[in-house]
Amino acid sequence: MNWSRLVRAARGVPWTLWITIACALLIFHTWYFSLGALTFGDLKTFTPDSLKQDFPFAHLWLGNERLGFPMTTFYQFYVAFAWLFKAGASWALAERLLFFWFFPVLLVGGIYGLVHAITRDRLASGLASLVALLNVQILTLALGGHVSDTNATALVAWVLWGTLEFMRSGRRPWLVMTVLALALQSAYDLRWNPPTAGLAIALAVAWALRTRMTHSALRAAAVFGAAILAILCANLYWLLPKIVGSTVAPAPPNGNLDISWVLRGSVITWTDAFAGWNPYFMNGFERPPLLQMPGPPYALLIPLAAVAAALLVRRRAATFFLGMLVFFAFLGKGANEPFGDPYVWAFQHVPVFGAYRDPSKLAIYVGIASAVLIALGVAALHRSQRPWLAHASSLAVGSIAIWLGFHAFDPSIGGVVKPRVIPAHYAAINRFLADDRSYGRVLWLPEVPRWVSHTLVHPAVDGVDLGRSEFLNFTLGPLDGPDPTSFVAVPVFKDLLRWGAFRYVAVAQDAYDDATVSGGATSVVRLVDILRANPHLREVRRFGPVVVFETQETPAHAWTAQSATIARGDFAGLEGAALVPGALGWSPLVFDRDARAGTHFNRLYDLDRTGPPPLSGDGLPHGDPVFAPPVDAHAVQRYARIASADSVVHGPQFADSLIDADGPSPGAWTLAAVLGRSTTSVWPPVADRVPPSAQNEVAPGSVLGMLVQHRGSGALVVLDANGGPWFDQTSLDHAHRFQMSQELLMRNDLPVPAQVTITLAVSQGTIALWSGDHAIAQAPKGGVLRARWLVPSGRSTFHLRASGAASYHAVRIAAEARPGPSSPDLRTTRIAVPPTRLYDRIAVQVIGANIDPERGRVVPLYELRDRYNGRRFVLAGPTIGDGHDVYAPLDVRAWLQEDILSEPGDLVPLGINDAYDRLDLVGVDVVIAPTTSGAPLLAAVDRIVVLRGEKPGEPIVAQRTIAATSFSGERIVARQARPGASLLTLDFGERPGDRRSWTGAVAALSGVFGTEHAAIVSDDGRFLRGFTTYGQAFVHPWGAIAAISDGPQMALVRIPLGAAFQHGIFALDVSTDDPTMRIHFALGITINGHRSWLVDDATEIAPTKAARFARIRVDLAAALTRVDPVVRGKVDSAMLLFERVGDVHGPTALVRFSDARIENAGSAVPATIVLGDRRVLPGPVRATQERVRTTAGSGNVPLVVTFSGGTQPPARVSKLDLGAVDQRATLAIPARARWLIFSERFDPGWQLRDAAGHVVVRHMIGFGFVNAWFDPHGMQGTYTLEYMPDRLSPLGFMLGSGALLALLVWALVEVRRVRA
Amino acid sequence: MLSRSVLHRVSTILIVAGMLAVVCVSVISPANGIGMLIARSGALALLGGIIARIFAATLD
Repeated sequence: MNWSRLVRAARGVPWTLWITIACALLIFHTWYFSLGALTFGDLKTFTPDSLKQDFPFAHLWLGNERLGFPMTTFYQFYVAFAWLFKAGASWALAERLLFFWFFPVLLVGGIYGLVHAITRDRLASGLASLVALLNVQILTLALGGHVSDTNATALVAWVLWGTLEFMRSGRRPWLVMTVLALALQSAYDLRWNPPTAGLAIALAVAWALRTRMTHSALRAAAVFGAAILAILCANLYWLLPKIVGSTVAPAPPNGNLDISWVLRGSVITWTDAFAGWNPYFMNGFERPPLLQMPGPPYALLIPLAAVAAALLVRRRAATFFLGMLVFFAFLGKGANEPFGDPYVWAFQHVPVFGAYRDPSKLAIYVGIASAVLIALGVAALHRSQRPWLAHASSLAVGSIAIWLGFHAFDPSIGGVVKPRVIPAHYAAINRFLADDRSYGRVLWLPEVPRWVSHTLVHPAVDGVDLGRSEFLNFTLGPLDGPDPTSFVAVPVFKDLLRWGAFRYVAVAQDAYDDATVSGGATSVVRLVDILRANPHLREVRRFGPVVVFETQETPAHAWTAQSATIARGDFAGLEGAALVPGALGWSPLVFDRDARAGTHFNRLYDLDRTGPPPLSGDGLPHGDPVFAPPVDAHAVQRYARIASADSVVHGPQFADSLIDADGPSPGAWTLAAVLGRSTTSVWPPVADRVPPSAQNEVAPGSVLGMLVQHRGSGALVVLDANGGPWFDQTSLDHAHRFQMSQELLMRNDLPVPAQVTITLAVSQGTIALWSGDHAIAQAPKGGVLRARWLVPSGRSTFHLRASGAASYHAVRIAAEARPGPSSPDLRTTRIAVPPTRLYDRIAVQVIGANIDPERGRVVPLYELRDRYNGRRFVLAGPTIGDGHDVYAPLDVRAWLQEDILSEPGDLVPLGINDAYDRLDLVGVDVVIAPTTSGAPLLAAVDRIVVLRGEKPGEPIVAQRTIAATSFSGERIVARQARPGASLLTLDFGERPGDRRSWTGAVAALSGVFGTEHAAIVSDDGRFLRGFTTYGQAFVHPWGAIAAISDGPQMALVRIPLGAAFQHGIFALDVSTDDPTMRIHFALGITINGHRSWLVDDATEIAPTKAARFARIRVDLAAALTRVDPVVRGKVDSAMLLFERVGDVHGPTALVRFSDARIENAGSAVPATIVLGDRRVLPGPVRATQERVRTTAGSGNVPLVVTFSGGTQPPARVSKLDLGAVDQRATLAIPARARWLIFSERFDPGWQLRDAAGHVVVRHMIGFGFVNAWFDPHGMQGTYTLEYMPDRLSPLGFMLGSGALLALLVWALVEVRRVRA
Repeated sequence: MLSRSVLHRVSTILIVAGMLAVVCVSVISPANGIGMLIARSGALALLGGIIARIFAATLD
């Protein structure tokens, strides 16, 4: 080694640079010298969705084999990581190589080089690097975990340096440096490219304008070309497939370019933008930015010095960098004053600008400009007659910079400064997962969520909240910042796990939350508690703070099903459905074809395009409300089109839109049509399902259907044999007002009588429906008029009559026709129901905490959100004791008396808006609570407007507008203020003495969707089922449970047992004291043709309660044999669930334990089901086409058991073992199957091909998020599964990288040649 | 006629005024009232100053 040369070089280093190096070593010493892994923040939070928000044009599936998690960015780094790992490098070494060791060198070297190129002054250059290094904004990024941003920042100076030297000398290696720096910057963070390339081009153009030489103009053009080349090469890995490939990137999600992003993201002020100040920094990196403290005035010393230097130094470079400083300061403050609107406008309208949600990052350029300007000033002083002034001013500025950035030296600062050693328990998790040879994904759910959660302590297990990424459509809250609780609490969560091929759910309770609140508001909900209450998960291990749950059943990553009929339907609509095995029997799987990733599910059920808002709830065609009639196929209609099907799939989100379309051939046939507000459902039979008689009579294309009409505005239901439904539902979308009488004309063009069902929500007057001289039904204001009668072929009329002015809201009109003589049973069912005390399908979610100032307690705030009409409710719950996690039953009445019934005015502060992405009260529609006992509902609170508190840290003060509303009816407790929005029926039978805790039954009718629901209610809170709403709340451990007590009040009470059951699954609480007990109580409920029933054989019930009951005998002892003997003694009771009559699987028994756990005792419970006098189980049954109908029941509850004819064998399902999935996989389908399900999140880019290369074209969404293919001809043999958008990625990567590498080699050769 | 020196002087005055406004709004919130007026005026002054300076540079 040439020491003398080294010493000479060291002597040439100015003291300012020495200080810079010392500071860098001090601040970042752990990056160099500490053991353990340094991990970082945002890099891992780029989920496909968050990425699409930033870069809607980029969409890649780049698999991470470990978790099957699609990582769509940082492709280069994943490639590099892979290489390093293959070479044996540890994670700690790899991340140092790729991220941490680079930064200080890159930043200091780049600034030094740039400034030296401008000033030729080493002292000034060293000072500039010191000022840049200690710029608070840059330090915040570096220490806060934004290592990719940081390195991209550090490359800015290199780009400008290369540009400057090239413009000056014309030497092409400098241009290569610009290209490489831009390309590397692109790899670190693409977002930095546009401003950096823009600056380089501006610099080149400014230079060209100054010199006014032709060659300068050419060089400027070359810089422009170089910028394009650099960005192209660095991004060729996705540009190539994007340009060459035929795939179309999905549209960005709805939330993209929502200005709320930038409004919230504009965290620094105009002053701070100059100062490069960041509020995060002031609070320390481990503390939340609750107090967004603006920078102190002295933080402006550096930019003031920079501007002063710019004004004093008469150099054009000073003008350039001064312009840069002001321009980026203006951008950095984002939407804040002064003139924040341009940023918001640009965010919405300027391409790519939408990527800058956090404007403060742009203020980094201010720091760089400040450093250069100060250096220009110092250099001028250095050249002056008093060069000591340069040293003195350097000392002063350097001292100020160190003073301002002194936080960085504080060893208490966390973030990536602290070395993070992987704890032993995480290593144990790795081993645990590695030992499990069967394929299954890990759903990683950190307890404390960030925007998307991550843990910093475990780099090997990706901390990204997978659930949010996977189950986007199942989250209940806003998409930004949802807790995992929003989807783990939905009843369908167990199915999500199964369908997503998740084997484990890991909850990390040590998740680090650097952006929002650690503890406090976000810790009110404990994920582990929710999951522990979930009977479908089993806590298997605990690794330190990480609790690992195992799912009950892990399906293969891909599986096939054979027996599924698909409707032809139209190709824009539904494709079909299949039966697949579910935890509780067979569930229908509904597929949609044209849905797009990211919006697929919302769109699927946005039935009439103008209908309900996009659903972000559980909106499922499966799981939650699923009912599968004993036939082998189902279909769902979409939009105005309908796919015909064999049978019915029923769910709340499309409740009234799905009807029996056709009975299984050769059985009786049914034509059915339903028209409701959210429904466009006409159900045209496909031609081959039109019965022969009808086919003979109806020419193709002619009308086969029914007309319901009144005066000029009518609703026309047309069933067209050609599959072209036409209808007009507009008249049903509004309340109809009429005087005295309204005549409705009905034309039944079917050759058979049609049963018509009409449901009207009466909002004014009392309305009666008459058919001829026969009054069919009547309902008062606030009630629901519901009637069914038979309409003969041909024309007929009926009348709505009122005593005076009346209005109603047509909720549902349905028609159903059957051939043959009409059955007396079908004659009339009349149900006039009073208003209800229940809300409709409200999901309860804890949204925050209110600090009770008097008692010093935390009061949870619950948000109740009606997922279907978008209305939001907010309720506050009290606590017990001083603890923060013990919550009293939420008695709405008390709350009401104190609060609701008061005059409109300011609410007490509801909470502290301590996390700006939470607790949004703006737009809350209604808070409703019941009145005192026995009294009708007196008031509803309508609209809460937040007056103050929208800003983080500010107490929330909201103004409430009360819309007093009276409701009639004795048992009314609450009803939504909007008539027709939610009308529920409620019936409480007599207290049934020896019927244990059974108190009543509820039939609910949602006016919004025309959905009926049913529930059994107990008065001791031990058992409840029925409503999604309450099922939803049920699994919450803190007791925000909506229950209906025997009295006239409704209160949210704590129920210790959680069990969320599906609609249509009937459950009964039976004692296990006597395992041989026979239950004799029976109840049948029809929910829109959704047949569910349950029989209790132990309790005698007067047969008059219902005409005919199905009876089930269940041997509980046999059911319990499936239960672990050890825990059998702890069995508290058992529940029996029956999905349907005629199911060959029989009932499912769930066993509840004393610790509130519920386990499935298996579906093969020996059971006997007796229908009337006929024994229908066990074994496949062809039940008769029979309607068991009663109007008595327990009052108003329609106790109806309806059977479809025929029982088909269930679909045969084969699991295909794919193992871990890369972007391409080969699978062998052993037996002919028409369905293939692949448990990777749905993406249209996936393609399935057979061995001959033929593509299976019907690629659809299954279960709302996974991939499914349907081939009516069946699939068998070897198939290839490939993610097509990624097909050319490796090639693009190699081409781009190769070009850059070639440029580098050429530049090195050129440099050597010139030197020689 | 605008000479380079005049432009330079004008731009210096504007930029100084603009930066003074920045200092002011570090104390007075620019979110409303007088603070907003100062902030906006200062921002316009800075903008004008930069433009004037760039224009002056082209007159060299």
